[in-house]
Amino acid sequence: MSIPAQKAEPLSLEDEIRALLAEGRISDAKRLVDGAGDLLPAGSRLREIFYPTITKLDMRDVDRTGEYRWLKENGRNFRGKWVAVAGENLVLATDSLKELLARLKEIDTPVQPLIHHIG
Amino acid sequence: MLKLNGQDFTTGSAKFLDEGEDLRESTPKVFVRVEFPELASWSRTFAQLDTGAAWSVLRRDVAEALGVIDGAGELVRMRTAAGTLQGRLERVPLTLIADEGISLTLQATFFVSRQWRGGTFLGYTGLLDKLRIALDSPANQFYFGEES
Repeated sequence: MSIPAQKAEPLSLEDEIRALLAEGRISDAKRLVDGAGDLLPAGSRLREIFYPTITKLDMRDVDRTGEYRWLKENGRNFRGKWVAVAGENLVLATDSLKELLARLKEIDTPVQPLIHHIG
Repeated sequence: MLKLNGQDFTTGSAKFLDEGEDLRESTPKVFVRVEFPELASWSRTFAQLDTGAAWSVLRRDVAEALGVIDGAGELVRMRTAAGTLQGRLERVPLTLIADEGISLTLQATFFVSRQWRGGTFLGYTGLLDKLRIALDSPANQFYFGEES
């Protein structure tokens, strides 16, 4: 008596999309998401991957000309560092982002500094 | 703001920096100003604009600070200049900061991997493919907006 061959269970739609993502087949995964209709709920994490929610924010930055000038003129002296720059002034340079964020909490600056890692 | 066929094409603009995060590589790139609202206190920084990147990518230390380095997002592989990396897709709020007009906050999708040794990139899928963007490179101006 022969043993009947087991039929592989078909992948669910979500598993199929996950498998495509894992293989790096992004366009194929997105096509499945777009064609899924109600089979993939609106709040599905798989749908959200491709469709970011976008909110308008009535906020503008201050003039950063000074910070850009500082980075262009002085950046190469701070290779490997995280720096915080406000206007044309260096506020802080640290070896790690964690340290920079912790120490910035204790420093008052006239404008919110720009932080940047210099490679 | 920029108009196309008489309609608003973009709603915000900001000056970009064209000197890189890695000064050893002396080729100019486009670094736009962003903010990570969930990052403690000061978080206005730069991200490299890269339409050739399949996904946006977070610097490892930024991902750690945001608490998404070992998250539960979808597992993916991504080909990079440093080889194929395994990581997860995580949703992270990100604000494109405007000098003029309106800033935009996105719940954007980022590739996060402990193996990644590079910077933060704004890539195509799940971020740039949902935006209208334009560059005025001689003036270092980055224009952005959402589809109306």
